[in-house]
Amino acid sequence: MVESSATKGGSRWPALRREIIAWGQQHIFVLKTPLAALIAMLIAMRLELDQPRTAMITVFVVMQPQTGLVLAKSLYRIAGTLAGTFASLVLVGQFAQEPEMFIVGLACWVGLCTAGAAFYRNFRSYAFVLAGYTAALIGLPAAVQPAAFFSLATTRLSEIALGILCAGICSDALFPRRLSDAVIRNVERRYTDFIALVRGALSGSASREKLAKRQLRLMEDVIGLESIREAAALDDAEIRARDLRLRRLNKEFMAVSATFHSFHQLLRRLTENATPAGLALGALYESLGETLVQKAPAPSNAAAARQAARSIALFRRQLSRRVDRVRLTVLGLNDPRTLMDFETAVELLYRFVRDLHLYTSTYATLSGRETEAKPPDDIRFASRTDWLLAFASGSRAFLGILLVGSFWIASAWPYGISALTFVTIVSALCSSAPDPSQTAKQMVLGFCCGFLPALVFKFFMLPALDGWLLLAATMAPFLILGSYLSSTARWSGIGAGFLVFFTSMTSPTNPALFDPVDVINDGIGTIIGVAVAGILFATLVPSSGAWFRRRLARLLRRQVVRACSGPLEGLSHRFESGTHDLLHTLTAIRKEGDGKDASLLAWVFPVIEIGRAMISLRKDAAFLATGEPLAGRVRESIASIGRLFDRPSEARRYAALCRVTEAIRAVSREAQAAQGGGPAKEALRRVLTSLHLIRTVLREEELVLASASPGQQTTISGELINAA
Amino acid sequence: MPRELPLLDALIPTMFLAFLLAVLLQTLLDRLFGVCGIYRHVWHPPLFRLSVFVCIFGGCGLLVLH
Repeated sequence: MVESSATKGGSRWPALRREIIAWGQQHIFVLKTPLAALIAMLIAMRLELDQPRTAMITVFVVMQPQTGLVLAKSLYRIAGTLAGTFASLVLVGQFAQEPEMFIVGLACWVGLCTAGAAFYRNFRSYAFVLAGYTAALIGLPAAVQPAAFFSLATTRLSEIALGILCAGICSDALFPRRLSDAVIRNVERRYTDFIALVRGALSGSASREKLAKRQLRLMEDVIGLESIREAAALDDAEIRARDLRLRRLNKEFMAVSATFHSFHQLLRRLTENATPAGLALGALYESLGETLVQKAPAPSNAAAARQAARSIALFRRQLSRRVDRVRLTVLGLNDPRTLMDFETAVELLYRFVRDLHLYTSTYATLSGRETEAKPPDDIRFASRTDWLLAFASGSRAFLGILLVGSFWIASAWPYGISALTFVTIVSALCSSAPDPSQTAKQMVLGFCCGFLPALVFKFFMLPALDGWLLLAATMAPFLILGSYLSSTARWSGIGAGFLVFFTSMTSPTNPALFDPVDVINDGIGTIIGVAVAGILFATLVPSSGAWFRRRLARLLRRQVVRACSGPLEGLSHRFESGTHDLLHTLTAIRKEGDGKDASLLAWVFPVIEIGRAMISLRKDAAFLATGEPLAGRVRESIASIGRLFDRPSEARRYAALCRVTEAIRAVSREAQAAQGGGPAKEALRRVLTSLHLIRTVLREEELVLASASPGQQTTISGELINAA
Repeated sequence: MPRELPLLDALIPTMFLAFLLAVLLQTLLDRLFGVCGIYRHVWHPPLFRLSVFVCIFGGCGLLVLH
């Protein structure tokens, strides 16, 4: 706050300083990776381990820009390494005499580990990466000379553990980027962005596409916060103390953004066609706008949020009076259809204001002390990682090893070991990347780029070097270049490939060995291995391919099916976190301006709207006695929606629409019959609202919901993005 | 104390066990410090954590090799 007032005062230094700090924080990582690798090399040389390069490559494999919790992370990784060692012990022990069986066993193990690395996130993912990587690194040389297994295993294990520890300590102790800062910044930015979105929508200043895009971005951000929150909670006592509130904040954010979306969509439909209900709602809408827009900047910190929460609370209190006043005019129109539109919009408005109030007040109390004694269970984040995607990654690695391994055995190729090792390394590194196919392509390119520099370095520069310091100083520029490339979003795969290949080719040892023929053969073997892995990752069920997109769309729809039939306990949070998780996968494989993605994205909003309406419908309808015909109608409509989302078609959409309309008729008859107020009437009204909302979406999103074939979707998607 | 301990007939350096013990102690201590809020008064918490670990591990190592 002090800094911002200083900038207003005219001094430009604080702003410049902030820029420099931000730039520095971004680029510190570029220097940290080479440093960790060079320190690992020094220690490995001092301990006279025979392959310092293994320690260095391990550093590149495990180094991450996030810092924190070095010991726990390292232990996880070392546990993975130990698992890999045991696997190789079993493989060598069982199949030392039969290379075919050995290759099949290794392929199975590495395939499993690769699948695990793709399936899990964060810590566990790395343990799997290292388990596969170690098994290949120890098992392959040991298969050739089984008698040396034990000494080989202990040296490799020490090298890998050394690499892990160096990476951990360097990333944590040197200029750490504190996760807690990232969490706080993320939370603040998201709050401001969301308020800006609401304002933009209320004032009508932003265009529809822009709003949809902004909303999608906010929703994608949810997973980002979830993953850093998880890491930060382990790392930082401050964040751990506030963990519960952060989780609740995430949950409430998902709720409020989805409610806002439903409300805004409905209102847009009503006002666009200038329906009487839309006109009547205009006044209410403006009063909401006044509450949120009154102060110029969006509340960017907790204190301002407290103020905002207070004004929202005030608005909530006045809302029902205003609604009653407007309702009188709507009742005067004497049109049941308009009345229903109006009631639905009002109910959504109530929900939105309630959710916004909750979200704002949680946000306002974020900096205070934790008061709740025990965490309620329903704020656990339900992750929806796709097991099929993981399975695809695993089978690619399996096939790659099988292919290269059989070639190795059939041709007695002396450098088959390098090829096999690198099939494993590339598969492991790619599978934990967001878009494996793209990363694999880049990595192959990176390996090819590394060939010439590595040769020049090894045979023209290395012989002239004397001592670790000189060696480190000459290697540093190459490593920094690779590290810089890998820190950019665009070239990250190339950077990683370059780093790993350069280190593996130059292979600094003590004493240095020079054998050009061996090095070049080894390099060619490596590149063949990498190329096989790259080709498999790019061709075999690539994650950016049409099949995978269709599967994602099906998974998204499955969310609604779950909302229709899953157990109600904690369902709404499960639904929302699962949907956001899928959305995150979607973001990873999506390219800007790609028509195919639009058809997938078109599913997102109907799924969220109908899913949420469905959950509240089921909650409100729970009180209806099972024997009643009314309950039967409602249940039928729920089931028909489930069927529609299970396998969409025009006929099913029409059937669902009919069922929902029937249910609406039955419920409104019942509501009219139930005289006076009371909780039953209130619940009936809410049931009616949800049903009406579902019907509106069913009518509106006719085009998406009815199209199951991808060919149709692409033509429709353009309109839908506009409609969203 | 012997330098190496047989575990299922494989010789394991005693220092490795000391390392594991040090990790355990450090984790407990870290929790304790976190609860007491000591890290709020420390300039560079990760470095502090690392130093504490080095002290513990060094102490354990000296005891083992004594």
